[in-house]
Amino acid sequence: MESRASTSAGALRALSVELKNLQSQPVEGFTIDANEDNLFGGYFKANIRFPSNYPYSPPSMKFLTKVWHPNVYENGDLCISILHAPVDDPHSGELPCERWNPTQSVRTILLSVISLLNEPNTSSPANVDASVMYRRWKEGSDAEYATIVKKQVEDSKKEAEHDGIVVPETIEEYCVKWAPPQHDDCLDSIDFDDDMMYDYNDDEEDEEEESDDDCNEEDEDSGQGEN
Amino acid sequence: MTDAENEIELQDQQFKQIENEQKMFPLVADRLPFDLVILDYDAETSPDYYNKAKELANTYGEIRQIRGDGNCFYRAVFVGILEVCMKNEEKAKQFLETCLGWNDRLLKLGFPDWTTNDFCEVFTDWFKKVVNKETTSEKIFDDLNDDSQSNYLIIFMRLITSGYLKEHSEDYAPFIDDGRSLADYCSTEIEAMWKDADHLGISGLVLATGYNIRIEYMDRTAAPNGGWHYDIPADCNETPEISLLYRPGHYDIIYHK
Repeated sequence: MESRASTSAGALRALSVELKNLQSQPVEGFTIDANEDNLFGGYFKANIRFPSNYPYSPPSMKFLTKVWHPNVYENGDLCISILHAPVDDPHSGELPCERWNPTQSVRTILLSVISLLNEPNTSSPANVDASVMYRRWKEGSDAEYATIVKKQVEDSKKEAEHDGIVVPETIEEYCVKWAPPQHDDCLDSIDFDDDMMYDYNDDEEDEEEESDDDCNEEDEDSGQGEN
Repeated sequence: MTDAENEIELQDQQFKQIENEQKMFPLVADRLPFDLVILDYDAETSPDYYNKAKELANTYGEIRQIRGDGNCFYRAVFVGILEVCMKNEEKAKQFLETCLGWNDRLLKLGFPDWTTNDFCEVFTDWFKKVVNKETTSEKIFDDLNDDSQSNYLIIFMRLITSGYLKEHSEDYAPFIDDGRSLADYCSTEIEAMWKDADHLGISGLVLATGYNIRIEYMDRTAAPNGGWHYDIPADCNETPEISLLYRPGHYDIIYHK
């Protein structure tokens, strides 16, 4: 959202309702197994930009923290199908996959992002180097992917400390529900002058199967199971 | 950028251009004389269209043009239904019942509950004012021409269309080519904004709303029985109350003399 002037009343309305919903029922990340030698505890800031005709058109999402991931461009732009409107040509060769439509929301985007971080899609990489490196790491022939990600996680922890954020590292910490202070008018809590920003913490990729999603209470349809 | 991305970029630019051109028209125009349609065609250079327009002018007295933004079919039917409801309180109540019932039907089909609830609530709250005469015709058409209001209502039309197709997935799935599932088709073709309605969308909306429609075709194809029009559903007994004019890629509402 660039400014109040370019934002339609409809978009503001939709966003204020969403914000309220996200505050009362935050999206939980996937759970982690702290006993394994996993990469976890990262703090990744992202910026979601909403077009003035939201929710008819999708927002875009950009990581502000460096993220070395097959589906994140080096400038931080996230490449994920749910953030794209359906293409008109069904024969464009793209796999049928989840696309933006107005029943999607910030919640379903966040769930998709978590799923993507957990399981990179190497068939259409945004960062080819990261994709190749990731594949080699999965095959066990090269540990550089893990090294880079680990370093990013460490760097992000410093940023978390600087921002005064405690990164959750256990299942209990991760899945705590919280209720926001109640505002009568939830529009009050949107800062119109800045870009909308949802900071959310996400364990850095726990790409192995150890990650279990028991705590992922998906009371919302994540939109993933449509096919 | 890859070729594919380039192509998408170009396509986007083209869409933007069309969008900007279309934005000069109102979403829902006033009722105007049908003769306007005849003026769109030249007797010399496009005699087929000219003659069809002239003949239709014998039956239809007025036209209400709808903006060509990909929602025209949904918007035209919606406005047609509204006009019926504004004149007939019984029908208005009946349609409100249908719409209220759709909220649960959609949730049962697995639509994401809280976005869906919002679209349903906004729609039914708005429509209740029409039913209870708490609004004026002027205000209704102002709302219909206000992008954000109007499009929110259109999403509801799209959702119930998708819902109807999903409720009858066995009947409709065979009509989807290119190997997509019905759910995928609905998600990208029906629920997504600015996507034209094809025959599945037409059928779904008609049956979801319970309002039959007649479509007069102004292209070069002949409708069955040598007539101009199709009634939807094809087996409806009475003449539908709502008539649309189809010109390639676009629908407007037309009114009997």
